Amino acid sequence: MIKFYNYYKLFNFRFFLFLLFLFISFFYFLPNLYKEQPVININNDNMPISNENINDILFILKNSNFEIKKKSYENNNLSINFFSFEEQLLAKNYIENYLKNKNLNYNISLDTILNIPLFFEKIYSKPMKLGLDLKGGVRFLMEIDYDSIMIKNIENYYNDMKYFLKKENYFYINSNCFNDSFEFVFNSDKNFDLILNYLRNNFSELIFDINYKKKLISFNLSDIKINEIKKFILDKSLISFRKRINELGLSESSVRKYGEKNIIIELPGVQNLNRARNILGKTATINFFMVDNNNIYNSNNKYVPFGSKLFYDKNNIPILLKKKLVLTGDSIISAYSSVNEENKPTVNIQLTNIGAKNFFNITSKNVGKLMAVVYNESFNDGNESYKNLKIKEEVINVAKIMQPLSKSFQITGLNFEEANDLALLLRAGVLPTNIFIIEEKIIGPSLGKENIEKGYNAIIYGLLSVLLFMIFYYNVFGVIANICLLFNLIFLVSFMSILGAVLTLPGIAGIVLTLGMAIDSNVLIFERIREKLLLKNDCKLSINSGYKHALITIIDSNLTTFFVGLLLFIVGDGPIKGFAITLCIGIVTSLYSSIIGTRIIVDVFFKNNVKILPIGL
Amino acid sequence: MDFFKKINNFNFIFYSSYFFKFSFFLFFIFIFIIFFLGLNLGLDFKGGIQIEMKFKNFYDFNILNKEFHNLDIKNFSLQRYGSDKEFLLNITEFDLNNKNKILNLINNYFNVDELNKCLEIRRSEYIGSVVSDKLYDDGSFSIFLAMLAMMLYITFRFNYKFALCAIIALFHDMIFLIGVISLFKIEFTLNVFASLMAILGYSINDTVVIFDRIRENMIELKKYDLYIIINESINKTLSRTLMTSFTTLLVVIILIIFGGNSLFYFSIILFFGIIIGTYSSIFIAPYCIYLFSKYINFFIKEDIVDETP
Repeated sequence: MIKFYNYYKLFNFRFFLFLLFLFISFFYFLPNLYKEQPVININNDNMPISNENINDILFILKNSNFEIKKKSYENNNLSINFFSFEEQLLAKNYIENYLKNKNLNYNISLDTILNIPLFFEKIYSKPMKLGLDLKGGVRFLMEIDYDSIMIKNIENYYNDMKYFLKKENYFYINSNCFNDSFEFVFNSDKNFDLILNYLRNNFSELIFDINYKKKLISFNLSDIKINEIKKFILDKSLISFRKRINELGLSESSVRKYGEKNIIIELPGVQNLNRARNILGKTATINFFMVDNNNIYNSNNKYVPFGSKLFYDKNNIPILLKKKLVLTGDSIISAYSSVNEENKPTVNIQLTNIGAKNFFNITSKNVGKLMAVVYNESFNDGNESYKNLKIKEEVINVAKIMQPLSKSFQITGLNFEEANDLALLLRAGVLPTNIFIIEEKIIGPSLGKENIEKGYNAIIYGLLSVLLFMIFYYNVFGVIANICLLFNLIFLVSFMSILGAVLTLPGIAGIVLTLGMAIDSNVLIFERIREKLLLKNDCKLSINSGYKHALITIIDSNLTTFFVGLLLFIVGDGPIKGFAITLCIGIVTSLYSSIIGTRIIVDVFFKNNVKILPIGL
Repeated sequence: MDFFKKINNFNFIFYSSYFFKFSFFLFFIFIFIIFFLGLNLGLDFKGGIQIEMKFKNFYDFNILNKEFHNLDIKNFSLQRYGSDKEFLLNITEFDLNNKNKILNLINNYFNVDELNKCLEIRRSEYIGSVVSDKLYDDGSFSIFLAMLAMMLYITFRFNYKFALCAIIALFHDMIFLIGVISLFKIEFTLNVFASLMAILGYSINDTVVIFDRIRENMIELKKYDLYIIINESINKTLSRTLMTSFTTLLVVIILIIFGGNSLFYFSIILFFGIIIGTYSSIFIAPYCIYLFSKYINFFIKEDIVDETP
């Protein structure tokens, strides 16, 4: 510690370093002072909005005496900038009403923009992100259903093993497949060891549980394999959700994993919840089947032949299709919706190279025959029970293959909304397993605004009261501590902005609390100085000794608190995490500004040995 | 300004013996209270549906309660939330679909005029039982983990005896605070939980400052009795302890007044917590050292080596 203390004597270096830090932080602090302006965004899943509609909306707003500050139409997104948040809220009602009357299914989101100078953007200086409780919006907590994936995996291994055993002509007496394991019973001849060896070589990722007496082997997935599968599913789900949210055109949304089987999705500013829920929770794809021409299914003949499967179309008319898939949604690389020459909604589909090759082979063999497009949609309706995944499967289109189909083609038979959603979901990819919503939080925009206002008030009044008290109690030293407290606030805010930390309501409370506690280090130092002064030490010595003795205490006491914050950050989420971030950063910045910052100022003021220290004694 | 000029020779250990017995007694009463009254778990830990609503104009509580009954909403409880315009509706319901049905029901009933809405749904939450159970376990676990981390750190910086005393004081704080939460039926939410953790950090901070002084005095005043050393240490740090508590309380009071509904209970717990934490740092933790010193030697070995200059 003594060595560290000597380092203080490098007055110039320390001084300029502090100034440099302050200078840099100031630029990252400033953008936080710009006020957010209310904006309404209207878009239609990256589809253009017609001029007529835009004019209508603007006309309605004008007629209802709304003052529009700025409007822009870029990237298929209409954004209207208002003067006040009250107007923004009210205007949203009007626009919603209009869209409802016109039967248009557009996304309306309340958002805010900042008009910060370009300079700040160049140095990547952005204001702190606001959490949902301050901004309003939707938050989902999803849970991944690993169980069904594990069952599927076990089934696959079971079938693989059956196939392998058959290929090698190894016979078994009995076999069973359970949810988390499967078993084979073999003949009690000498072959058993041979089979065992063979299986061990080919299925190394399985755990073998061998009962030699009964010649029974049961197989489990190894923990490594299970974790591997889980990680794969989790990553794939995250990617799929990110894609879907990008498709929704939400800029500040976040998708992140929480624990090993949960995913948190936050969509700030979103108010159209049903749509968000649909897009997130639904999986849609299309499959192509050949129509079974040889058999007819109707009320008289309710026979489903082997190799065929019964489907229904939109009007609930039954149709028999051959079970063998011609093409699945997996081979689709891109899809977008549009309108064809007959003004009917279509989905334009593009296939992968392999998919296209296969598709060409099959369709060229079957020119003149009928092919059906089956729409497959699975969604969970929010229930917690795993088995509640609803599957909707219907034939949307049956058409004669006129010519061999290849890389790109169109399908029809959907309405506008369905075509839109299907294209979106095809682009986003299939969710790898059932994922259901186990937590949903919607925070209205006005509550968020109120929270911010109250939070800022609390910070300002809290700061003021501490500042006044410090001057009252420690005189000039109080003023010095106050200056550093303000520096601390700048450091803290700029640090949080640079790190991209999200400000939440408990986070604001954390800032306020940190300000109260940041004074603690100064109090510790000043009290030590006072003690030394009372022992009739001279001023210079008292200051030196005060800082020196307090330092160890300050570091000890702050580090313990820091560990608590760190733990909260690792374990917690949402509001707790927000609180922990501010607490941890607050401790770091307040240590720096209250130990080094005040020392610099004290040294400058009391360079020459003064007779009396104005420390309020 | 110095408030503490006259009181820096206070016999803390003497008074602590009474406070310690008093706390010991209260400790078991609070455990009793927690055991029998339990915690009024909030949505975060209990699951269900919560809807926060604000009316444009004053709305009578009883009428509103009746209206929800008439709307055929089951298992609900309504409470005022701040002003006469704001209400909180809690529903014990574990089906997300029903949340939307209820929201639609309420919206259609109160907001007949679409352009001039008289009710605003400010917040609506659904939390499934799986999440809330997990959160409850995670929460208890993280308090335990935090205490363990602090104990390790103090053992590392001081020794395990000091760590033990600090943890006793912390445990005392937590039981008292949870007891207060249980007694006044304060809704136990994530925010309240965060405030508990904040107090954990605050109280250990206070305690460590005093322990630090005791350790220092064990070297400087090693000829004296531990009784005198501890008393001297508390007295010398007293002004700092009370000053910091005062400034922090000042800020917390401002949070209570200006923080709004969402932060109200968070701030209230902080308020109680700072008082309890300061009390335990002065009267409980140092007294534990004195008590234990009768049985174990608290002087650190290195200090004794220092004796020969």
